[in-house]
Amino acid sequence: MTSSFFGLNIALSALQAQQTALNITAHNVANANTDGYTRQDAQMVAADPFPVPIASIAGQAGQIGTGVNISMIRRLRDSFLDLQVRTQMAGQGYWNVQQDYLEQIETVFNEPSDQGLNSLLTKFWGAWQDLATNPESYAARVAVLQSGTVLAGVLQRDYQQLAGLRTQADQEIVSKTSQINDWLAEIASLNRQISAVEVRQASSYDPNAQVAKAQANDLRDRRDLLLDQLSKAVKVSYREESDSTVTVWLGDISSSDPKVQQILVQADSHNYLLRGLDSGSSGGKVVWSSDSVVDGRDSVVTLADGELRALQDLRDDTLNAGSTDSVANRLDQLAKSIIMAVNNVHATGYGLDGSTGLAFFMGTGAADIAVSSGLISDPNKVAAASAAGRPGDGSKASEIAEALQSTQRTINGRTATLSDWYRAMISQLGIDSQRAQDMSTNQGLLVDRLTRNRESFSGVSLDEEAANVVRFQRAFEAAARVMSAMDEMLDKLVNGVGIVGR
Amino acid sequence: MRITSRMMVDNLRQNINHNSESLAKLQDQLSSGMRLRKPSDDPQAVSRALTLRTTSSQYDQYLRNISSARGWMEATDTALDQIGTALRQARDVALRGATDTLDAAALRALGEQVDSYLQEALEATNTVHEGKYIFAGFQVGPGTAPFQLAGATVTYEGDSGEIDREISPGVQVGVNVTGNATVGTDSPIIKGLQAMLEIRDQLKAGSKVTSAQLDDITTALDDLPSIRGLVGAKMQRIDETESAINALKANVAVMLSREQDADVAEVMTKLMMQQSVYQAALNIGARVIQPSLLDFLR
Repeated sequence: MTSSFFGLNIALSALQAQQTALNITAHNVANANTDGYTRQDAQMVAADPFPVPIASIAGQAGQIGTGVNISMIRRLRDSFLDLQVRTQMAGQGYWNVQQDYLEQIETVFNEPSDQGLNSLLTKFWGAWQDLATNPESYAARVAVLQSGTVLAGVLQRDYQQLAGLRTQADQEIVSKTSQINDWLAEIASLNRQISAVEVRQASSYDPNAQVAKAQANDLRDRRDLLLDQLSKAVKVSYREESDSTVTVWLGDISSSDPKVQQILVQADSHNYLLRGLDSGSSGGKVVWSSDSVVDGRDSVVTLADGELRALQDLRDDTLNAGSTDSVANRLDQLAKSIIMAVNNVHATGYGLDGSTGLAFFMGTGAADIAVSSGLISDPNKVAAASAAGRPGDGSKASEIAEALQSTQRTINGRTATLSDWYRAMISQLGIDSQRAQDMSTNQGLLVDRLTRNRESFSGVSLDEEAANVVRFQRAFEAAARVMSAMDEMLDKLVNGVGIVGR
Repeated sequence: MRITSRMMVDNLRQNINHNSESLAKLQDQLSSGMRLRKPSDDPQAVSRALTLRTTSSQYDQYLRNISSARGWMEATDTALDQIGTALRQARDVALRGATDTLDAAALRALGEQVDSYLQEALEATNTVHEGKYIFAGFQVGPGTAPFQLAGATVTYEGDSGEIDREISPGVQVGVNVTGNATVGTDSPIIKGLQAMLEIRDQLKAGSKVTSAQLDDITTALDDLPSIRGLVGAKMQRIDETESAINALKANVAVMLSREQDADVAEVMTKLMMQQSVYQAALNIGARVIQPSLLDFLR
């Protein structure tokens, strides 16, 4: 036997449940285009049944249902798909940055074209050849000085542009570490909030009773979005703890030795990254801030992948003139070799006015290469002859031309002519840039596909929500109908029973 | 597989972007005419293209050098011709002046003739080509002409410098004849001028030409063609080199075009195909992303 209003309560639970489900559907629809949103649905569970005595079975109780409960609002997210996406995003971040910068470096050199260094070197050689043909000519000397000035100018300009890119990379490192710190702070804060919401609380009346675990769905969405952004900037590993906080490490999950671990976020505290000072052991690399230091752990952060690592590599290797075989270094070596090749021969030659022992180029490298100002103000000092008093002798000019084009020299351990050396440099740049483009495209496709898998699982489908609206609305209507029927029956009971003959 | 509306839109967007990228690249190739716009387009081809460009410019320079060499040698040849003619005429006069049949007045008249031939020869030896004395070695001037008459002697103010032109990679050819160029032990030009000078003075003094003087001028006259022959041989050599370089240059132009130029027909075809793919993607995409269940629910 059940109470009179038992049925009404069942209908009431139905109304409430369907209404809640409809609210959740509305929430999904409202957030259909929100970045990082995970669709939610209501877990409806039949409420605990009552045991009631029944006549048909001796010595046993039957079960009667008591309606519906929403046990939890489920968040449809697959953490394994998340892991897959984030693992690849670090690679995507790395190669995107590399591609961007390498393409800019290619633009600096502007090859193949008539304005690039390859063409200018040949023109410079041609100017010396013309001087060899007309060694007595003032105009030919002016032409050589002019050609040298253009060559030196372009070498300087290219070098400065590379330096500019390097500064840009450095500034991006600073702003990126700052951005990462903001994200880490927010993740720590969310950890605290989510933990506060979700941690099970024992009922104060019955220590064994368990309150349904609340889900901090939208907070989790926010935290997952931050982890996505973080994964692109640096390669991280993470793990959700039993108290609903997420611990985040740099790189792979490694030993528990605090001297080796690189913890970024733990519970509600986090560490800070900084662009280190130029001096000392850091050399501008990313380091732990002073309040994140752990005794015995290297202050320099080990970055495995991601945008930050790419920026660091570009700044310290590709664009660093001090790093052997970097692009900037090779350009500098080219300038040095040109200066040396021309000056060595020029010093042994004689100008129209008999001057000898003069240098053609000033400067020590690509940063400051320039044609000697003494020669520009008096072109007759440009050496073309092998001895004084021989205006028709162009043999030195011829020798300089040969030094530029056909003499082999050893630079950075490789032996080649100047032009071949430059061409090899451009070729290497092209190969590196092409590889960055290919890797970037590949990673992009991979991340797209994994993201699509994730979206397929967690995304909102408007068609599906529309169907759900119909479903919950109908169920609501039916429950209301049931309630009306019960109401009528009760009315009959209250007003109609026991009034015989009145 | 569960498909959400966002997935369809994202998919459409990515594919259209991909198509647009290809279209932009093909358009760039077509409007610039070049297949290689930056080293990463094809690193090996760019390296080859750079080498070919340099080689082509170098060939142009060598052709310029050859042209300059030819000009010089032609001027030399013409001058040698003039010197030879003057020498021959002077010797003919000298032969007449070596006989006993003429009187002093007639000899003096012959002397005048020799003088005019001497001036002609002197002018030829001091020829200026493109502002330079061609028989002076390195002393191309401006300033003192290489051949001067000082009283009874012909002095050569030039030197023995060889003026070279690089006519092909690593190949230098001397283009000039110095005034003191020797055939055997003598310098025919100096000797010839000297002989003419002495004969002139001899005749002007009313004496007949000595047999020694006749011998001198004959030797000079006989030796001169050797020098001229050398110049001729060199001219032939640079002509051959010029043809070779022109042929190489044409080859290089073809190879360079193959490396760096866009094949217009091929790019146009790809472009049109890409355009139709793009339009199809837009068309179908528009049809697929629009309808949803909400259009059909009452």
